[in-house]
Amino acid sequence: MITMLALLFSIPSFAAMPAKTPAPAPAELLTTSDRARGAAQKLEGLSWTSEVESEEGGNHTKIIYGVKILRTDALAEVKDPPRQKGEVVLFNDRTLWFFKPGLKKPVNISPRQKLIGQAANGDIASTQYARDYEATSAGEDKVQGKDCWKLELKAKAKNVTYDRIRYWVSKKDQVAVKAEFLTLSGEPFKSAEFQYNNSIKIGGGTYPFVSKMTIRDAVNASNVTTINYKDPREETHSSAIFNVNRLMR
Amino acid sequence: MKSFWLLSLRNLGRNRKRNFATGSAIALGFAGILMLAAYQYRAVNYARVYTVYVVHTGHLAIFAPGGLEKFAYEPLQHSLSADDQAALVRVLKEEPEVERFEPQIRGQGLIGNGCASFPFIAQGYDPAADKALREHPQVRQWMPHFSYLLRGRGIWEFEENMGAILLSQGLALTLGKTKLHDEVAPDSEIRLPDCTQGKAQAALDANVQLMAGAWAGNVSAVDGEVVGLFTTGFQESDNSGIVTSVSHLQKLFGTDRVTQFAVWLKNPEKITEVSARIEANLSSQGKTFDVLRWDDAKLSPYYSGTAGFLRTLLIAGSLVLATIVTLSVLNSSTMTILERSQEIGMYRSMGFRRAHLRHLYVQESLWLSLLSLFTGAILGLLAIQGVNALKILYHPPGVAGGLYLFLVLPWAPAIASAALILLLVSLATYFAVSSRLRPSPADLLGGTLR
Amino acid sequence: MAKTIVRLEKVSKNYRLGEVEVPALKSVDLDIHAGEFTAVIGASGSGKSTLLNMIGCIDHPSSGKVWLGDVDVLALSDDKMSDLRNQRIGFIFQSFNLVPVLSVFENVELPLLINPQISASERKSRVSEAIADVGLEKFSNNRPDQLSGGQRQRVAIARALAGHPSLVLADEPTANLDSETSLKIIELMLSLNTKRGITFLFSTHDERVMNRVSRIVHIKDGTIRA
Repeated sequence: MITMLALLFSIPSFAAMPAKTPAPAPAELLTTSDRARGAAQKLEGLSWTSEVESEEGGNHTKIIYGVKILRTDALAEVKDPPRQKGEVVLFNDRTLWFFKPGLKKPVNISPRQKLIGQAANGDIASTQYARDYEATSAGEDKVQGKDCWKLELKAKAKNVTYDRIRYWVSKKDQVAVKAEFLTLSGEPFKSAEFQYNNSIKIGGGTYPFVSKMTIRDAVNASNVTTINYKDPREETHSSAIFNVNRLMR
Repeated sequence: MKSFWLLSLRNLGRNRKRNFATGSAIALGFAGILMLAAYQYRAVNYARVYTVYVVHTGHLAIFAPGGLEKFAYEPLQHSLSADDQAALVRVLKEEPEVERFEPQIRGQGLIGNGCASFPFIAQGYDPAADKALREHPQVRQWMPHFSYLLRGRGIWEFEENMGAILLSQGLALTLGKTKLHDEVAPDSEIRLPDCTQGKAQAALDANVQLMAGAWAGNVSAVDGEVVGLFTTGFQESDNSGIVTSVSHLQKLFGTDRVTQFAVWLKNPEKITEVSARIEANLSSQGKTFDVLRWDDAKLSPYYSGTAGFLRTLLIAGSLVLATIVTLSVLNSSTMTILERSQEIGMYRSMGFRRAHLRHLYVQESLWLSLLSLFTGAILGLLAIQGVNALKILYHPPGVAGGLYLFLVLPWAPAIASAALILLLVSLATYFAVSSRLRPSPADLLGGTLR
Repeated sequence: MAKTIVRLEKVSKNYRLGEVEVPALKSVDLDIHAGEFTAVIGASGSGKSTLLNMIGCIDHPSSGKVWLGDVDVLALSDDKMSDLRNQRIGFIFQSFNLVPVLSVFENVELPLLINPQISASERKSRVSEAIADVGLEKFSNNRPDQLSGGQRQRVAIARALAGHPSLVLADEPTANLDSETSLKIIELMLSLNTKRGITFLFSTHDERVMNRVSRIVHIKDGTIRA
């Protein structure tokens, strides 16, 4: 009944407004924006280099990962600094493993744990928000001078990186411009902004690809972690490299 | 006056029923106080020994400035560097009152069995110190029933580079690591368990992985070998605690620093002067650290909470019992003296001064109290021995496996409480008899010389 | 004329009964001389006991003066007055007032315990002598409950004598005894008065003792009658 009434009253107001771009379905927005953040479910593989730099309490840390993606699997391997070389975070769908050379077994880890600075384990590889979150539309907004769709994301499962995300997707490119990561009670504890100066060729088309993710602590804004994405490219990967047993050899 | 003591003792033979009732109140009250004191004494000492020796707090804990509060957030900035440690070793070795000292690391992370990972809280000890503390005479005396190591062997029995780990029993159960190093064939291959087959797969070997944020900020992990299971004595930490060597945790946290130094003293009563001397000697080496006493509430909240609660319990319980005893004696004395008004009049007529009679009646109460206290002491001691012989297991909240109700009588407080009872009884009688000595002897005799 | 050991000068005593003041003694003058064997005779409520209380220094008069020898009793502190009673006056009570848990010897010894001038050996000899004076040598170690009423009163007399008092006061000493025993007690007191010269002052309403005493003090309505 209430819905009916709302509908009745809303018709005249729609009629009075100028014509607007109809909003794509939230789930569709997630799929499109995920693609620009490394989700490559329809490809034989994708690779890039992530340079993770963190500033926390005056400490500067930098680690370079080589990231390989095959559908929902991902492998992030440390290339630098030399003393951490060979350390690996392996994503088997939503299951994450940490491994370093010399270890007798890999360690099962949570995507929520901090990897470096503000970056969680789950931030390091491809984004699979379409898989992991239920999105609802929360209107429109303007971020970084861009018109955006605003989405509210709620985790579908427990073992995902964040419980709740407030997500801004640009209308023009359908890429994520900003994210606020919220606690279960809805308080933001960190935020991220994205830049898309990379592009990637998939099939015949060229698509924007994330070049920088800047994550800030909501409490202490001087705690900042940036992930610079370099050299994204389509690359064929054998599924064997994503097998956890292979790590121990 | 010697003959007064005899006279007052003989007077106890009068009104035996009342004296028996009063004596019983004193005896039972005193036995109750003794049991309460024995419980408090044992429990406080249990908590003390647990704090100082079992969990390696030491009599003194030395931290980098602010280390106790800030280490958890900024371990690198609030821990002891190699240079700090060298200075500490120099100073502590020179201090004759130091029985033992130990560098320690505390930290947390994830422990994995190849399938799943769970949070752990680690204590990194010097294996030799761990061995010495487990066998310390104080631990044997005050925690005879507490068996820290439930299975396996201590970390001191293994080469340090093996990464020997003791798992708390709850954590071992969660991880499914039921097999210990000694129970696994030496040449067996370590392989990734088939995680779809449940926890049994985790028990194929004694190998675990510890993963944590290294103090420099990166992620780190090391292998560990489960050599034993232990209990912390508390349910909360029994599900997450691990014990390993300092060097193993240094490897995990990628550091040569330590969280703190624990210092055990030969004579803990000298703690204040030794602490001051250590601080002064460190200062002369240009080092300023936080030196905390073991009973500092910030350092040992469990001990200070328990000891405070038990002290309150003892004081409140003893006051209630002492009040009951005193009121009982006051009542009995008042009744006795009222009944013996004519006798008081007779004594006064004969020339007994008021002070003589106060002495006489107070001494009578003292005799009754002494005999009753003696009986109470025997009753209390028998009850304590009985309770100890029964080996009653009780379950205070949060204590893993429960505790044996074991009572140990502290002599000094027992004697002090007996003295207090004697004092209260004397005062009660003194006031009771004093009020009855005010009338003239003729009035006490009933108004006439009958 | 024998020495005066007690002198009452215009001694009055009033008791308060609720709102009313009741006079028990009315301006009584009385001298007791050494060696007298005096009976105070009067009806019940005539003031006999009050008179003895004043003489025995165990109660304060409302007015008047009490002299024990040359000592103004009312000027003394409570402790000094206690010492005076201990050393100069022996008391015999109607209901004996013996300490039940003590033997005859120990009961007789009681008043001597608080006299620091008497040594232990002298104490023993005085007690034995007093017990012998009342003829209870064989009962020295008995307790009061093992004695008859007459024997108990003898113990009380021995106790009164043990301190070698200059005056022995007895309020109705025979009231709780049968007539034969009463007579024996009076005879005992009289013989002690005769042989040892001990001054006795006792109250009684037993007419039979009248011809045994050296002096009779009649008291009626708080006033001594000639």
